[in-house]
Amino acid sequence: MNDITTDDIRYIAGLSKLELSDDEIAKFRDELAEIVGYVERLQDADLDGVATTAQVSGLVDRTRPDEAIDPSKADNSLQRTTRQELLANAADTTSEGYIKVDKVL
Amino acid sequence: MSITELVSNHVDTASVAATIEKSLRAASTDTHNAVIADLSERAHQRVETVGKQLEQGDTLRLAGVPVVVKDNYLTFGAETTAASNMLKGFNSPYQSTVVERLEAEGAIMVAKANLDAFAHGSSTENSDFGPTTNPVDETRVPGGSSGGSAAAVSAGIAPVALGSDTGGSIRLPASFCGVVGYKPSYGLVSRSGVVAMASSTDVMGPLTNSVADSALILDVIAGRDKLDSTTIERASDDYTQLTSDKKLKIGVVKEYFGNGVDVAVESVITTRLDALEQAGHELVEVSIPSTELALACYYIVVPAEISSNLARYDGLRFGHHAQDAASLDDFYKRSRSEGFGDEAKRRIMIGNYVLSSGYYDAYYKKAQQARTKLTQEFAAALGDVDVLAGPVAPTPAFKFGANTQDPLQMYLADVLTVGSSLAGLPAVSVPAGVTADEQLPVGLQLIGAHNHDLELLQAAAIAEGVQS
Repeated sequence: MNDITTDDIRYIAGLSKLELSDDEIAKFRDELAEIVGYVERLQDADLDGVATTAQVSGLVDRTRPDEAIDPSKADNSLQRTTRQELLANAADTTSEGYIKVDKVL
Repeated sequence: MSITELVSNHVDTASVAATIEKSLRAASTDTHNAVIADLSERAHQRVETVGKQLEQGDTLRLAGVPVVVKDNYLTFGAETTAASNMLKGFNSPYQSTVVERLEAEGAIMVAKANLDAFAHGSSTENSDFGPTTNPVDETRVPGGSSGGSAAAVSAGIAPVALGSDTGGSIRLPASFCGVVGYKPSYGLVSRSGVVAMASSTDVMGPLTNSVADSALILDVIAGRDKLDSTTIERASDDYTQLTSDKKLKIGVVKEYFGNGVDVAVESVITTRLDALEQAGHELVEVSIPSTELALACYYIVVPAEISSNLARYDGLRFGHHAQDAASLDDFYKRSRSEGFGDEAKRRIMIGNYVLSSGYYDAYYKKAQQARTKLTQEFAAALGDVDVLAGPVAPTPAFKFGANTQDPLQMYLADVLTVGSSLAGLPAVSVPAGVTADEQLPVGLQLIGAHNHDLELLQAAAIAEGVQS
């Protein structure tokens, strides 16, 4: 078993923007310790010098023309979507079509 | 009845309406909690549209075919929740590419299927809408995360359900419910408009009653999509050409037997493989030595990608919004803590742990190296044979609650499916029979080379047709 502490869980929860109760911290500590303990078997694998793989599509640097899309002429519902429709799911919006957030400064 | 036969019965609005009404009725009287939202209003509109097209003489390959859609696909006509409290109330302004391609051929979406919230799970017990029961045995889970989809096909609600597979989420429920589940090659089917889990292994695919039905659905949805830059060119212009008199060379993966695999499961798989051998196909033993590392690799790579993909749930643009937060930071934290369930929180934290400063080289980089090794081993094994074979899962469907107290134990259900996901290979679960004692379905897993989906489907059709 590795040495994940409750302080580690507090730190990771902060990075994850999650608020946890003390009970949750204790529970997640035990669970993460077990899971991380399991994945630690990779430490013993002989992988020196092996290249890394991030994706397996076989594709490299696919680009597209940088062109504006006219929603009224799009052949799919995503590109037909209007700003107003997208904002309908937002928490709070302004009349100018922006998302409103609490002051940060 | 096959999808092709069903389509041939549809000649006008009335015939399409009859099929869709029957499917909608089955969805509304579903006793398995397989479906969590109704698309009847939109389905009725679509009946009119498709009926008119038929009456005008249009040829539609999926005219009037009812489809149940896993609720992580964005669709019109109902909320898309990914079975999570986080997305309850989310109405998508657009649809996924897969749904649009199916609709263009006349398919009609009838209901949204239950899943483990955000597709995180192997039993559908982790749904914020309650678990789905397995139609084969209601005391058991249907598998996951596409458990509602598999149960919907098994219970006859629709002949097609859409699923998504990140590490086994189509194949495992297909195995547990006794239906066909097809995970295409990574990149062959667009991910646009599906709630992202792990972008480097997420693949969309069908669950159906037969290999031929899965092949037809794949043929409609496969190929490049300008909305998903990771989509690849299709290798075949017709994935439905399944008849083949070729004799297969089948690589039986030795690491997929023993090692905690139930003897009852092994027995079903071995019997089916023996039947294939008797029918003239060749069995050879092959090895994927890094199989023992695959699950560890998966549970680093996938949580890492989940932590990144789920960072978008800030409560502001969509998803659960916390009320009366004291500050923006408090709003983020409360929206996320209230909206995400334990499994999403667990995976986000594992992801952030393995990616965090000081641990990156020890975990994430090692996992990326193990992924290379695994991919090379699969390629080498597939160099000598047509397909690889083994069980889909170490056990048949398990009882409710059997693995819920121990997340790691639940993760082990995916031990035989994650390898091909990490390598991006197409893989399928074909019903191979039932266990001798408890009569539970067992799926034979066949794995093909990347972008050789037609060859894999041909092999699956052969394996499906051989009598054990």
